[in-house]
Amino acid sequence: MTEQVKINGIRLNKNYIQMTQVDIDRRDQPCVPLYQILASDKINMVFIVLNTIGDRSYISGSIASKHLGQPARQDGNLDYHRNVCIISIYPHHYRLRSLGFLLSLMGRLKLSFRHMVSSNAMLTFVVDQTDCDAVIDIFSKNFDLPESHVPFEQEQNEEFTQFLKRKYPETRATYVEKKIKTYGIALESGLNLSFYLFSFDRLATFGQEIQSMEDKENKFFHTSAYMETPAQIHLFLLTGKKLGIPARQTCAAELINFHGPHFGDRHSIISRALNCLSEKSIPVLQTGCTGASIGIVLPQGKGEEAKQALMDVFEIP
Amino acid sequence: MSEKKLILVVDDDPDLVEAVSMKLESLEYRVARAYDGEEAMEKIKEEKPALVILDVMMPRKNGWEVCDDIKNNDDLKDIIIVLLTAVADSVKTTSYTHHDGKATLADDYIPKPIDLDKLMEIVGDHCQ
Repeated sequence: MTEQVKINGIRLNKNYIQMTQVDIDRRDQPCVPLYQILASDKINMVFIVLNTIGDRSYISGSIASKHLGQPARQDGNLDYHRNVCIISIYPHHYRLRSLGFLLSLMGRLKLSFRHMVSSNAMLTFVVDQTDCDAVIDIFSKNFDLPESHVPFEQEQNEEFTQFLKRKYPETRATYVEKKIKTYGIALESGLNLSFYLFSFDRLATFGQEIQSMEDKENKFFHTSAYMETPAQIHLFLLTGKKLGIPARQTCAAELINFHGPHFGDRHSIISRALNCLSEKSIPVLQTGCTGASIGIVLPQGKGEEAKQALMDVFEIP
Repeated sequence: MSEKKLILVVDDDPDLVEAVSMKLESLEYRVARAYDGEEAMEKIKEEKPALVILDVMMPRKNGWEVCDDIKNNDDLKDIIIVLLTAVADSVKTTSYTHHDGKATLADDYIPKPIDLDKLMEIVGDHCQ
């Protein structure tokens, strides 16, 4: 029997709306990026993925259900999905085995998802709320979790959180800094970004292939996926070494990774990060933001310039 | 050669736990991870770390309670606790100050966003 993959936890956030803006790079139909629209309306996105390579460019973000009907302004081809939830497992330790196991599991058990993105600790999926219990149940049974673990649900702890906020007034989502504080901006160079396009039926096999690529020398640095109807998966994988799985497109890339306190609770952060790169005409291949972490994949050679540009907006105390 | 000290990193932000853990591992510490107060107490009793880097606001059991439980337990009270909390200098409403942080039973305190090098310095000083 295959040994279970050990993780420490599952995190769950319910009652979100998924907004996806596709074909964001069409020159004949320029649109204001979703993250800018939401930032101007002071609406927070707890999950975001942006892609500009492969067969389809898109930005997709999750906003709380209370913002239903917002934003007032809608640019581009904006697609809404109500009633989604966000499920994360952590930590993945950048292991191809963990990622491959997860994809294989979802493929074998026909668990569909809308989006996936990684942070430096988490692998996060946006799934329809109707599938939420099944996904949590399957993850709980198939991963090796601490005995006392219960999936952490933000909503269920709301009362407790409010109590703590009153008793120990912390800073959650209550401040806007001129320069946003981070824990440091890390740059990884010499990486390979691969784009795979395949049907959902192949997900289990693809996951197994990824698992078999595990070795001490290779790990993944960033990954994201988008499941397009009908069950066509666009999957992106940033690795140190090229994998032996034929990709539809590959390119040399660099990764900037940073995070800060309560990034996931505060609006405008991703907008400020991407705007400062855009102002300096620095192209972005992929962006993923989940929890308190932001990952930006850039063409090889652009990382240092991007890091300098980000330092205009972010600071390391 | 001295035995590698075990450090427990506790925060409900998995990304922060990972960043701190990787830094500690690069400095040859052994690292255990926990993501809420209950899990932290289990790991503390099980593994008896030399030092705990402890977030304050966490689900199930907050950092203050964990700190009190450790420091009021004769078997655990010698474990060093470094508290972390997200107090930004631009916040005007908070009553939680550096001074208050020091006034707890914790051995040391560092505000978020943490300077990882400063945190490693604190850990190094306590783990000599």
